[in-house]
Amino acid sequence: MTTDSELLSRLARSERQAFAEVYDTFSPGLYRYAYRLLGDAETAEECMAETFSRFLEALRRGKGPRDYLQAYLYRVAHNWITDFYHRSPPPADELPETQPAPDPLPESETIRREGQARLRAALAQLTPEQRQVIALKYLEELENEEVARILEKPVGAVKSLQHRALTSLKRLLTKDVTDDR
Amino acid sequence: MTDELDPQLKQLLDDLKPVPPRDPQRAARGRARFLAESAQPVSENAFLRLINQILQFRKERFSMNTILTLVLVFAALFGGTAGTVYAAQDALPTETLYPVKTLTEDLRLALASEPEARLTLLTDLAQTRVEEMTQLAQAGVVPPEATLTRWQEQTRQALELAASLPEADMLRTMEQLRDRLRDQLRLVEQCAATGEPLQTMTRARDQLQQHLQLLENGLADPQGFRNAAQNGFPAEQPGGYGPGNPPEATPGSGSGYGPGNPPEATPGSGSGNGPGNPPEATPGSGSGYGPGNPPTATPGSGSGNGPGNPPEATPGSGSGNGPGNPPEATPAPGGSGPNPSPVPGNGGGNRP
Repeated sequence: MTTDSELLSRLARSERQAFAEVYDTFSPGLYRYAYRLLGDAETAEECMAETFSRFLEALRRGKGPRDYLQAYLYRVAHNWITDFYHRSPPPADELPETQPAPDPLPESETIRREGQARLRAALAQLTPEQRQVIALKYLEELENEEVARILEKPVGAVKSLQHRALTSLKRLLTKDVTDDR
Repeated sequence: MTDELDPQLKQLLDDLKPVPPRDPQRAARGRARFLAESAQPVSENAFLRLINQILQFRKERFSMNTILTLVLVFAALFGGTAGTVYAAQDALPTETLYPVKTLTEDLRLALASEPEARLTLLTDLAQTRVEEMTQLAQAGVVPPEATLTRWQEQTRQALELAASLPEADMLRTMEQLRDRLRDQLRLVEQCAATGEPLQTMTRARDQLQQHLQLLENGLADPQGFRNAAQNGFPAEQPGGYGPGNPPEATPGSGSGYGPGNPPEATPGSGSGNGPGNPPEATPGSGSGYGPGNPPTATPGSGSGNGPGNPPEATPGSGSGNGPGNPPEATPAPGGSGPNPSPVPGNGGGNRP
């Protein structure tokens, strides 16, 4: 299995196959990450395109990752999503685009989609780091060590951040429900 | 601190996990675009890139080695170990190891000579201060004055550094700073919503609002921002946010680079770089700044060395250059000089 450092060395030599490997290895996970937070296939594609484009630009400037490629790409994608939220926060009352379930129960499906929209809107109100930790830990199901690497923080700091993020998220969701009544 | 989720939240999060299959045509187009882009010739040749990478690597190693050595010497002198230094990175201002943390930070700052690296560090440190204050406040502990002061100083330095950059970089940095300050304000407001308001947090909130206003004004009037920085952004004056100061003071009204608030202006949130408030008005602090780049140069929004934020961020409509003090108003100490051409403005608060 190719390690990140080997892959990075090949990228530095501008090996075309290495670029293809990076895309094939990391794009599926990044797409899922972007889709879960953005709730829209087209915007998730846009995020992907921009993430990889920024990655190339960073390499050209002699910057970019020096070790963990995945962590780096998640950070870039996350920054793009943060920008996107600043430009257009997701409204809680708009249903997200999803493909229909094979045999959906209309009412339960509606409730589920409303829940998704509400959660995305609440996530958008968190700080970027809080949102990132929730998404990485509970949506991407990464281990604390991996989350720490992506956030470039000690594991202890990630746990504290996670705790605060959950508290804020619960409060936002509770407030949302109360406001609806 | 537990990772356990309450069942309702877990259900909501689980509902967000399913992702419809990616459109294969779109995926193929994305891949082809990326590969085509990667094959384009780069602006600098491979040799220069390699040199750049080596220099960067050497510089980082030097910095980290120096920092580690100094910190370890310090830790050894005080009976600590490398583990102590590491553990100190999570310390809160009320904890024994906190001085080790701030010493490490000071050393890193001392070694960050490049403006970009320094700005990144200052903004990260300021963010850490806000996180520390909110953590303490949420635990019902009043954050020490020194933490607020440290945050103010790091914020002020970042603002001044931003103002020293070439215009395009300055504007980009100001937008990043503004985004970061918004995040900080959100943290402080989250904290306020969960418990009794603490005076330190109220002051932090007021100042964050002022800094945001300052940046909004600066984005509308970059030269005014530069002038204000040259004259020194005013710092919060002792007692400026005393108990008598109403926390609900309207943020941002009458703020700007103009000569300041009129004597009857509501004290507090109106930030300004003018000569300051008259003696009888409670002075407001006016310096702000924001976020920076992560240490490993992740390009992106508000925190990257790469392509950075998209240029479409525009100053909020609520900002403006304040009307200023009447000519007879006495400048407060620390206030910066009057704007050579004060423009009557809209006042108004921060945009959401």
